[in-house]
Amino acid sequence: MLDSELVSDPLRLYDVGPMADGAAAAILCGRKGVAKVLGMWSSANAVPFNARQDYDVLYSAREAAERAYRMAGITPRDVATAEVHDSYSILGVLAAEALGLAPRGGLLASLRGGSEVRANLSGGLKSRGNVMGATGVYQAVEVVWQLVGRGPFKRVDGSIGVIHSMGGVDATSTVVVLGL
Amino acid sequence: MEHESVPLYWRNIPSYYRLAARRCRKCGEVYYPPVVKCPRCGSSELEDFQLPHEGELVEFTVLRSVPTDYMKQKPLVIGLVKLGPVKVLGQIVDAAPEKLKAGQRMEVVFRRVVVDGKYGLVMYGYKFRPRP
Ligand SMILES: [Zn+2]
Repeated sequence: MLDSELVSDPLRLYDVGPMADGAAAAILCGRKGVAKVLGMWSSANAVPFNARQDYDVLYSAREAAERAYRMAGITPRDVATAEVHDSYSILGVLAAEALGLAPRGGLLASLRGGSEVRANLSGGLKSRGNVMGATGVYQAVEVVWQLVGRGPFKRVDGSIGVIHSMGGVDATSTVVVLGL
Repeated sequence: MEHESVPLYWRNIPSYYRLAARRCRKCGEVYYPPVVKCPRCGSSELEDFQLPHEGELVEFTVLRSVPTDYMKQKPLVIGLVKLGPVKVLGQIVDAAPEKLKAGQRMEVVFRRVVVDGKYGLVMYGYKFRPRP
């Protein structure tokens, strides 16, 4: 990855999620489903990119996560797996931090320190590809499959998963908490 | 590549050509790009505010993968420049990227931005360059 061509300093080709074609489907039903929607929230960051104070926090994701967690009655510690919107590698890092899976600016240090951050076990937008409108549904399917241990995923240790979908760079975010 | 429509471009000329911003008469906040209502206090009373043509480089990146219309200008240097009370995003020209430094003085220049090949429209606007 470090040898791939520079796209925009310091992001290289393999920091960028490729546009891809794809389709995903989930069946929403009243009862007896495989997993439940425990919480959901959408937030927007109305401040235009040039006027922002900080560029290392995804405020829309942070607020959507806080509200969705409150609705679901969970804390970041309960999250067994998360699928976040990493259309660029740095956005995946910032999204995981916004979801409370690591402290602000601390994800890489957590990983180096040996902590496990269970995010984007699917490979995320970077490896699965960014299938635009279908991406969020992909994430929902992937999280449910990880919770129940359906292939190609191994079963994760826990019963709660989170998905984060984003439009623009921190313009709008939706966070959904799914549980078995 | 798709560009903004001619009427939209036309309406935006004061902000593209002269860096015309808007200032809220109630709370004093300045907005660029201009807004019609103040997001901070809700007031609709805004007045024109001329941004200064000199400022300070906040941060920048070098785009090495560029849209087709910009191939000739590759690589593109895009930066955030603090002009008075606001930060403005724009292209940096007449500068070697390896010599640029956050905090350095910049000035506004008027340049051709892009030629819309399909309609023959030449779009002009502001760019930044290091102050000599
Ligand atoms: Zn105001």
